[in-house]
Amino acid sequence: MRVLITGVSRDLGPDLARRLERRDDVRAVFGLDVVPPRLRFRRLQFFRADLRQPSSSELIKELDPDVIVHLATQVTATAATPRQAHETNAIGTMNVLAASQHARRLVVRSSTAVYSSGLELPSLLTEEDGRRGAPGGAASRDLREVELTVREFATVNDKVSVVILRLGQVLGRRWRSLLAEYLTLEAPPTVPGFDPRLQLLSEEAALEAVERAALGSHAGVFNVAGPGVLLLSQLLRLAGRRGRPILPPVGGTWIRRQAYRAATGHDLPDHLIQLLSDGQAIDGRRLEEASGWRPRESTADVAVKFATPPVFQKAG
Amino acid sequence: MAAPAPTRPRATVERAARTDLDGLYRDVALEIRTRAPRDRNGHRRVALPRAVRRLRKQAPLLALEGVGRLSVALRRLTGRDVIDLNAMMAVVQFLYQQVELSKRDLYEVDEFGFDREYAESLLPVFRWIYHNYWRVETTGAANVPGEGRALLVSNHAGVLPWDGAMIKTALFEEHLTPRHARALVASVFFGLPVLSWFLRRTGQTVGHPADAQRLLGRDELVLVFPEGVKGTGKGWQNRYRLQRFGRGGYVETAIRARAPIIPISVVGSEEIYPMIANLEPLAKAVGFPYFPITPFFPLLGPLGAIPLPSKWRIQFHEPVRTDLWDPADAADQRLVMSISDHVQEIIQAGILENLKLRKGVFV
Repeated sequence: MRVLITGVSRDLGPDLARRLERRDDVRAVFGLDVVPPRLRFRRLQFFRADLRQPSSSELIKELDPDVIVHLATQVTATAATPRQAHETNAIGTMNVLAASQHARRLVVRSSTAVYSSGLELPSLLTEEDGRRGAPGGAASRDLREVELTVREFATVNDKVSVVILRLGQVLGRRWRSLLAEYLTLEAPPTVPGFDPRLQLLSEEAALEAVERAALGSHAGVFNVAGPGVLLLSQLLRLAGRRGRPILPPVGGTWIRRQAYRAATGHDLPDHLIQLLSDGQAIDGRRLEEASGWRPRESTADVAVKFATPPVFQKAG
Repeated sequence: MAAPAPTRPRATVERAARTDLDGLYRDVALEIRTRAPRDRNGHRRVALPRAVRRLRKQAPLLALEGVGRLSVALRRLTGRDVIDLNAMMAVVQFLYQQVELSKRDLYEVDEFGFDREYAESLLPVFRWIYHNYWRVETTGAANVPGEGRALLVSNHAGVLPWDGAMIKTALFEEHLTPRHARALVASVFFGLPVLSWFLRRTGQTVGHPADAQRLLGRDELVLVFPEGVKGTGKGWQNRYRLQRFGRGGYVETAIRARAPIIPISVVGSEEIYPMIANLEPLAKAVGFPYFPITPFFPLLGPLGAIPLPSKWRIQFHEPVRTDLWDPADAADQRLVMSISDHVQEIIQAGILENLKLRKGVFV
């Protein structure tokens, strides 16, 4: 089996490549990204390629992988402008799809940011709730577009089994995540009068979900979430932080985002701003029914692991 | 504590009061000693001058002692219990419990955000309101199953959902196996500060069929108000007149989950905030479904938000079976509407009957 990973240098990518390298049934591992990964690899063949360019499509066709793992979709990046992120998401995915007709399997990374945080949604979101309601922000819109094109691809190319993984909020110490950055703030801003439910996914679980999707036989759209939820106040307390209730309790996402920016000097994408008031929890049962696996660690486990020993000692 | 009979010698009365007080002091003193001066995150507090610290430590004790002395003095003066020490102790206990709860680290909440321990800690308050303020009389609590799923369906009135709170309290006070009923609440309330977390923390969730289905699937009691905000926001002239029961979605849910429907009639909730007008433009501006004008609100400001002490009756009716049909029949709109009408009739008849049984609005 020949596996190709796009976005191999970012968070999940290097770890996934390492895992695949170690397997005997994987004959070759190809990695694509705009920058080389910082880890050393035994078997990974790295190619510098910009998915926004049609040439990347040619390259993938030439490598002729059996399994394509498309990790290059971005939701958490705020450093890049929304426009750049959109290019990578929409055009990048198009180019990957153009080269995927002859693959056996395609895994696309999505995230729970596709769900809008409308109040009319059920408490636990299932895969079917994704297309309802207004999108939560630029990231949501992007991901919906990506998923739509991938679904269209799947209906046309029924020989390729396609998996879309909606990963929950990942919190861990290996990868950069905006949630981890939020928790390292001296006094993370909160919305007074709100204590939202959060659901966390460990890095290992996210990794395993992608690996299983790449090597397994299930197809479709799947939420990836462990059992249980945690309240934001509980998470903050575990992380040794005291929330500062300064975000306006009334008014929309835009106002809160400006207030957040003014208070911390950082930016947070819309879907995370909405998370601070509305929270989000998803139902991970479908993945378990289809593949026999779901993350074992509960949200509380993930939070405790992240918080102990205290990573971020207070100064003084 | 019962008021001492006037024939009892004064010395006995005093001795009894003193032992009560002693117990009280002991408990509070122990409570204070066992608590280390640390803040919520386990860091030591900033050191205050010792005198201030000592005073702060002993303030509750001194206050209690003062109230105790006052109580004894008043009792000696009037021969009656003017200050009920038991009630005072209950308040102290309640406050301590709240403080204790606020210090918990990793407490359990379910996927809907329900914090059982916190919800049960509020019971003393609701129990007092239930027995002493609205003097609720409940009949037919045995119709609610002691275990397994059921869909409780009630009429809805009174601007704020106090009726939900009283139904939930009734299940704790009158049922052999106390259970939490999980009420479905209009989603707008989850966008409002404080309410958003309070509702979830105490076991409520959004009024979405998927949530009802999921809770029933876990064999919980689910409480719904099919009238929705049309019920709570109706004017005084429409009191005790049931509004339209939505499109019968709750019946569909019950058939799918094979859960019996238990109709509930609540009487008394209409009079707690007699709504004479509804300022709709203002309601729209603040994002509330209605803005009530009552004889006291907004005239008296926050005081006007205190509900009137009407006399309440709650009746749990016999279950309406839904297991006679196949879950697939939930799609049959005619069946659903006929069951819904049946339930509505039971509730309306129950309301009229209980209105007759009630001697007056406030007695």
